[in-house]
Amino acid sequence: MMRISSLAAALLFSSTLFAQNAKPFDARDLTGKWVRTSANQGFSNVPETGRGNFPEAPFTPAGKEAYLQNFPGYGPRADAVRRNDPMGTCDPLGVPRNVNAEVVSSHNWWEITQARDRIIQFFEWHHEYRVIYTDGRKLPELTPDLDRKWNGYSVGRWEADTFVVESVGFDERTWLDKFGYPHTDEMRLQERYRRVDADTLELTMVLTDPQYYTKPWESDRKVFKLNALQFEKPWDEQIYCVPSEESKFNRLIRDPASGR
Amino acid sequence: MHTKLSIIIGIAAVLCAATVFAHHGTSISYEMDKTINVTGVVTEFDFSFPHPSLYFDVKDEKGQVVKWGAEFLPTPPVMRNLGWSKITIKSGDTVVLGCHPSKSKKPVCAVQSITLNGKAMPLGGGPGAPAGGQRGQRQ
Repeated sequence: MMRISSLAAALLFSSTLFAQNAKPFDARDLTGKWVRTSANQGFSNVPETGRGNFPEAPFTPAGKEAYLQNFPGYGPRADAVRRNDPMGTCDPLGVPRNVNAEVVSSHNWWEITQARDRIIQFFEWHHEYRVIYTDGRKLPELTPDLDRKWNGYSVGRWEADTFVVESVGFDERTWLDKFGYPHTDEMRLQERYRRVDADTLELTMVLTDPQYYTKPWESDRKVFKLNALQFEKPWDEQIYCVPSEESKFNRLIRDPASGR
Repeated sequence: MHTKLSIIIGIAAVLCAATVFAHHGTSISYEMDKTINVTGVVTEFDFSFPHPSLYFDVKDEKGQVVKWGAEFLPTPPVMRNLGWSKITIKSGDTVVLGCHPSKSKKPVCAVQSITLNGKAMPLGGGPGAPAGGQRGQRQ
């Protein structure tokens, strides 16, 4: 009896503490700068990234072939001579790579602002943004004449307190992540954002791309913390990857270094 | 307990190092486990994102000038937070670099430490940094 009372008191005490520590928040307000704190910088932590015992990417033969034509600068397939990461020429990273917030601090964040009919996601890398329409419009049909976009076409809706984003129409020149995973312009992407407390946002993604992947492929769970910037500055850094600067750097430094 | 904590921190540092020294090819272009010393006179300091770089003249054993280039591991925002700016290094300044040599043996390297006109400059305390912290981090 004594033991039960002690347990009850402990539970009561801990719940009181929790209530005292918990900050109020609106689960449907995603506004703010969200800094990635989960470790993985790729789309999914499959073995090629060297992290964890997860199943291999569910490639089709065509998907595997496309993957082997991408030569990343990271991971076990890193190739200094043949590297062809779009980032290395300042090409747009696109979605979902932008959403991964793959670069390390102090640029591993994106910001969300919400308007009545749209949510705008601002990416620090390249200082660019995407629009997620929440006005009820339908996604475009994936017809051959549809212009493919670096960040695709996106619409969003609320399912309880989870913000669900559906996207299509991606430019297939982008990689899913810095490990060189490919996609076609037929890829469909679903992102699920859930604010679990005042300071924490969780994200999982699922892509469907039958030409390259045999089944829907789910990302790992990514965790973002609100305003957890390494350096808080009064003015925006305005991080751009400038092609002329990157070209000079590659020509004079990086290419000679790697014997390219 | 302390031993266990140290091991965890050590493993974390190794994992972190593998991640941070790898901006589309940094860690695979240089011999990151080796350091050479290079002394030269600056011809250009390019404080641009994401690769601050330095160009300088080095005299070889025969007195011939060899054009060198070097990249910094931290990005400009990180360096700025350590007190750097685009005018920290000027043409004509003398630099002594502790540098990771290129795998190709060409006269380019990745800066591990820098002394500018006789003064040691901070580059942050990334994994493997010597006492006082000269090494920076690369995304």
